[in-house]
Amino acid sequence: MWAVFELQWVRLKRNPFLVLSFLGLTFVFVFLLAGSQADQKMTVHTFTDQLSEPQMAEWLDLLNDSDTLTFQQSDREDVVDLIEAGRISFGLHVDEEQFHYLVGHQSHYQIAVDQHVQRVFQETLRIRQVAEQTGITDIQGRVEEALEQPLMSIDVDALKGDASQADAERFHVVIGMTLYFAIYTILITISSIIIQKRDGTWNRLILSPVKKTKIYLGHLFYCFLIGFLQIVVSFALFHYLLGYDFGDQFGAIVLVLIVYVFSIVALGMFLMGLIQSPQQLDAVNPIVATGMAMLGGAFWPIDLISNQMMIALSRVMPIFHGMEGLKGAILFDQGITELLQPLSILLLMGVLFMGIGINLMERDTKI
Amino acid sequence: MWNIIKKDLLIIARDRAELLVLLLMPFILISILGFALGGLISGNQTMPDINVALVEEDQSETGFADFTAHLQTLELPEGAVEELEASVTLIDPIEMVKELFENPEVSDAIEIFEMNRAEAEEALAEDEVAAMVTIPSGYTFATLEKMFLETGDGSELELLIQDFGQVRANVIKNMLESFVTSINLEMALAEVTEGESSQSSNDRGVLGDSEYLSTREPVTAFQYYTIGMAVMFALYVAGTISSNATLEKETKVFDRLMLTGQSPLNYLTGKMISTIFISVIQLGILFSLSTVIFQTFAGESFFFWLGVGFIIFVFSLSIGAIAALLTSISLRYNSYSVSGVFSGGVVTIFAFLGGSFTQVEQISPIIRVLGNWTPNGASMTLYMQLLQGVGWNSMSQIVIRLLGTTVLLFILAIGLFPKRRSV
Amino acid sequence: MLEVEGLKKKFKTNVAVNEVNLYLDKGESVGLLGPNGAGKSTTISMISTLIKPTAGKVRYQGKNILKDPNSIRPILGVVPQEIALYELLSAYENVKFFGKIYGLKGKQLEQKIDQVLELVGLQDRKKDLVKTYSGGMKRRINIAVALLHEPEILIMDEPTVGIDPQSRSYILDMVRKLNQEKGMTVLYTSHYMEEVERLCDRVYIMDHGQIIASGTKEELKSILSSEETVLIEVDQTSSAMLDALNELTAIQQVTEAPKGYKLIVSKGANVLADVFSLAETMDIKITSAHVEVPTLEDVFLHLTGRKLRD
Repeated sequence: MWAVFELQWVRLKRNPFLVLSFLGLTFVFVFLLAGSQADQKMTVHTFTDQLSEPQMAEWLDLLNDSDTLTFQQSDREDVVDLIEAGRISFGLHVDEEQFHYLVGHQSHYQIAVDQHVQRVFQETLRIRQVAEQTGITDIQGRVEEALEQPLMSIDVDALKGDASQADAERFHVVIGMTLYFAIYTILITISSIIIQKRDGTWNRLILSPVKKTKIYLGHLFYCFLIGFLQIVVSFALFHYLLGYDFGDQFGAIVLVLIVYVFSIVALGMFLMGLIQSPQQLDAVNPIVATGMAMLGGAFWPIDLISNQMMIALSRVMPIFHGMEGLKGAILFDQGITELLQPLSILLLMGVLFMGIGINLMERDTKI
Repeated sequence: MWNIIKKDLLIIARDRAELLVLLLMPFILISILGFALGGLISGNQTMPDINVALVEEDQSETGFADFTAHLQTLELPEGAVEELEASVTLIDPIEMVKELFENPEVSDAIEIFEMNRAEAEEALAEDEVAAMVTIPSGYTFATLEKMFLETGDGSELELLIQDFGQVRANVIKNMLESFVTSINLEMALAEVTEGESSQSSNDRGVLGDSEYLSTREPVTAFQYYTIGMAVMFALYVAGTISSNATLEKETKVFDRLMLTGQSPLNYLTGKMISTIFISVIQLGILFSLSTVIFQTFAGESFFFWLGVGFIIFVFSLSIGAIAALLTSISLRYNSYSVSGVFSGGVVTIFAFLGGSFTQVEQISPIIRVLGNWTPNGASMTLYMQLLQGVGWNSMSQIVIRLLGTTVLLFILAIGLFPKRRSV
Repeated sequence: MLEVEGLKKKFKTNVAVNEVNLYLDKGESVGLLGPNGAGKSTTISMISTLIKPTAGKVRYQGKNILKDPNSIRPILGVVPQEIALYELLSAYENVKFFGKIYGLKGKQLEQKIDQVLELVGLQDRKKDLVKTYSGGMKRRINIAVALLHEPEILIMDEPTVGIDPQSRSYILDMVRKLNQEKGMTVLYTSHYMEEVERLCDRVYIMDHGQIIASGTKEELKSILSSEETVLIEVDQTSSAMLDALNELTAIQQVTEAPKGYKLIVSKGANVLADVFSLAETMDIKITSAHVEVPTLEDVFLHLTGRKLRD
C-alpha cells in the first residue's frame, strides 16, 4: 500500500500543475469569498422625491440605527442606473409617511431590509401621530427614555450555542463553498485510477502479489489527503489571515472533515464504477458537484425548502451532513458526542458508496 | 475549416454520454432548482408552515387574582383600587400573545401547538417544531404590575429555538420582537402622554410596497437562478471542446491536420465555431424547455425572445473564444489538466463572481463589478436587464465589453498557439 | 506445470473465448498464434488472473489458481500488449516502483534493477522519463518491468507490436535467452507467425475464440503433410490447360495463380512429369516449377480458409 501511496506523490511531483492550480484557485476563492463578506454592513441606496434635505436626513438617521444595514443617500437616477447595470437589485424610496422599494429583481436581502425599515417606520410614524394628537413636542426623547424600562422583553435562547445570525450566515457560505470546491479536487484526483486502468498500469498492479484492497487503499488515501489538505488550507487561511473564529472544537472539526472527505472519495469510486473514460468524468464532475451542493443546501439555507421530496433528497447528500457537522462544531461548539449523527451518516454513506463503487468497477474482473 | 467544424461536431455527437451531459444535465439541475425554490426566496414568500410550540405556564385567572391581592397590600387612595380592577379586566396579557398567532397573516405561515414544557422541548429537539414560545408563570402579574403600577421589571417571554442559523427560527424571532416592540412603544407612549395616546389606528395602509423600473413584472428568484445556472453550464462547453483538442493531440490527429497545411487561425476558428454552435444549442434547449415545463419565461413577447437569442449568441461568442484560448494552452502544454482546472476551478470562481450561486451584489458591490467582467457575469447582467425591460443604451455598454473580451481572448489564443518547432 | 481446462469467457452475448484447453510444461516455450480478435489476449488475461472466466479452470501445479490468484501471481511475469508504464516517471523509477510492489527491497532491489536494465539494454538511459523514449525502448522497459521479480512463467501479449526490426530482433533474442539460459517458461502470443516459429517449441493456433490446432511446429506442419503445394509458372495461361490439369487424378485441386497455376497434390505423387508432358502437348512453356514447404501460415490457411492477417 505504501509503495502505491508514495508513487502518487512522485507522480504529483512530476506533474504538479493540477494540484498546484487547485491550491492557487483555493487561495483566490478564499479571498473572494472573504471579500464578499468583508462589508459587515449591507448598503441600501436610499432616495426621495419629495422630502426636504433635513427631513430626509432625519429618516436616514433613524434608519441607520442598525448593526447590519447602512442607508446611503442617493438620488433616483443613480439608483435606476445601478439597478439597470445589475449592480444592485433594489433601492429604497422614502416619502412622506411612506416608503417603497424600487425593485430590479427579487432578492432575499430585501426581506431582511424590509423587517428593519418596517419597524423604524411603524415606530416613528406612530410617535409622530401621537405627538400631533397630544401636541407634546419633545415626545421622541421622552418615549425613548420610557423605553429604557420596557414593559415586555423576550429572552431568546437556542439549543445549540449562541452564535449570532450574521455569524451563522457567514459560516454557511464559507463552509458550503469550501466543501463544494473540495469535491472537484477529490473527483479529479481520483480519476487517475481510470487513467491507469486505461493505460494498463493498473493491471500490472493487480498482477503483483499486493492485495487489491491495498492498491485501492494506496490510491484512495492519497486522494483523501489531497482533499483533506485543501479544506484544511482553506480553513487555515480563513482563520489565520482573515480572522474567522472557528471555535474550540478542533477535534470535532477534524473528525467531521475526515468522514466528509472519506464519503466524497467513496462517491468518486462510485462514479468511476459507472463511467468509462476520463473525458466523461470531466463532464460528470460539475453536474455531480454542483447538483449535490444545490440539493445539499451549500448555496442557500436548506430550511427554506418546503418540498418534501427535496428535503428527503437533501438528506442523501454527503455535503448536507458535512455542513451540519461543521456548523455544529464551529458555530454551536458541539463536540464529537453531539455530532454522532452527522458523523455516522457520513461514515455509512462512505461505506455504501465505496462498496457499490468497488463492486461496479470490479464487475468484470472480479476474481 | 468547415471540415474541422463538421468533424468536431460529429465527434461530440458520437459520444452520447458526453452530449447528454452537456445538453441535458443543466436542465435537470434547473428542474431541481425549480422544485427546491419554486416561488421561494421571493418577496411574497410562501414559506412552508412553521410549527411553533406554545407553552403556557401561567394562567390569566391566577395572574388577575394575584394582582388584585397585590393591590390590597398597597396603600392606594380611595377608589383607585376599584378603578384599576375595572381597567385590568379589559386586558389579558396571555390573550395578547395568542391573538398575535391567530392574526390571519401570521396564522398563514405559522401553526401553533399548545404543549407542556417537556413535550415542547422534545418536539424542538426532534425538529418537529422550529421554536418554542414559553409564557412563564408570573407573566400576567408582571405585565399588569408594570403596566398599571409602573413598578417591577416588566414581564418576559421566552423563546427557545434550535440555532440562530435557521431562517425559520429567525422568522419567529423577528415576529415576536416586533410584537414586543410595538407593545412597548404603545406603553411608553401611554406613559409619556399619561394615557392620552389613543389606540393605534392603522390607517396608513400598507407600507413598503414595491415599484418596478418599468411596467414589467420583477425578476423572480427562479428566473434569476435559471439564468445563473445556464450561464455557468455554458462555460463547461469550452472545457469539453478543449479537452477534445488535447485528445486530438494525443492521438496525433492534430499533427496530421497541421501537415495538411491548416493554419492555426483556421484550426482555432473551427474550435471556436463548434463551441458556439454547441453552446447556442445548449442555452436554447435550456431556456425553451424551462419555459415549456416551468413557465419560467412564459408570456414574453417576440422581442424578448429576440433579445434572449441575441444574448445567447453574444455570450456563445465569448465561450467560443475561451474554448480557443484553452485549446491553445492545452496544445502548448499537451495536458488535460488545463481543461480540468478550468472546469473544476475557474468555472466555479467565475460562477461565484457572476452571481450564479448567491446574489452577490447586495453584499459586496466590488464582487459584482468583478463579476461583470466575467463573460457569464456580464451575460447574466444582460439577461437581468432584458427581464427588467431596460433600454438598449444601458445594455450596449456590456454587450460591447463582452465582444471586446471575446476579441481579446481570441487574439491571446492565436498568440499562444504552439509554434511549429514545438509541435 | 500450468494447465488450462475448458476456459470460456462470455461478454454479454459475445463469446470471446470458448472451451480453450492448453498446458505449459516447465522450461517450455509455447506460442499462441492467431489473427487479431481471435481471443488470445482474453485467454491470457484469464490465465494471468486479470479477468474471471465464465467457465473453466486454470491449474498451477495441480491447484486451481482462480480460487486463490495470489498463489500464482508472484511467479508470473506478464508483459501486456499496451505500454503499461508511468510516462512521467523515468525507466528506473518505473522499474523500482514495480519492484517494491513485488516486495523487493534495498540492495537486492537495486541489484535486480541493474540486471534487468542491463538485459533490455537501457542502462544508460534509465534516468530519462519514459515519455521521451522511442517506441522500441518503451517496449523493452515494458518487458523489463515484468522480469524484475524473476518469474517462473513469462506471459507475453504481442510484445513486439509496432516497433522497428532491430528492437524486435533484440526482444526476440532476449526472450530466447531467458527461455534457454534461465529456463524460464514462456507463453508467447503473436499474430506474427515468423516470431512464433522462431521462438516456440510448441504452438497453439487460435481462431474465433477456439483452439483449432496444437502441437509442435513439426506436428502442425504435418497436418499438411498428406499434401504438397506445387506452383508452376507458364508463359501463357489457357482454360484448356486448366481443364487438362483438373483431369489429372494425382492433382487434388487446381487454382489459378498470378502467372500460372497452384496445384495441391497428394504427398509423394509424382505429378511434375505429367504436368510437363501436358504442357508440351499444348505447346505451353513452363518457366518455373516449385514445390512449397508448408509454413504455419499455410496451416492456418488450411484450417480456416483465411490468412492470418486478414
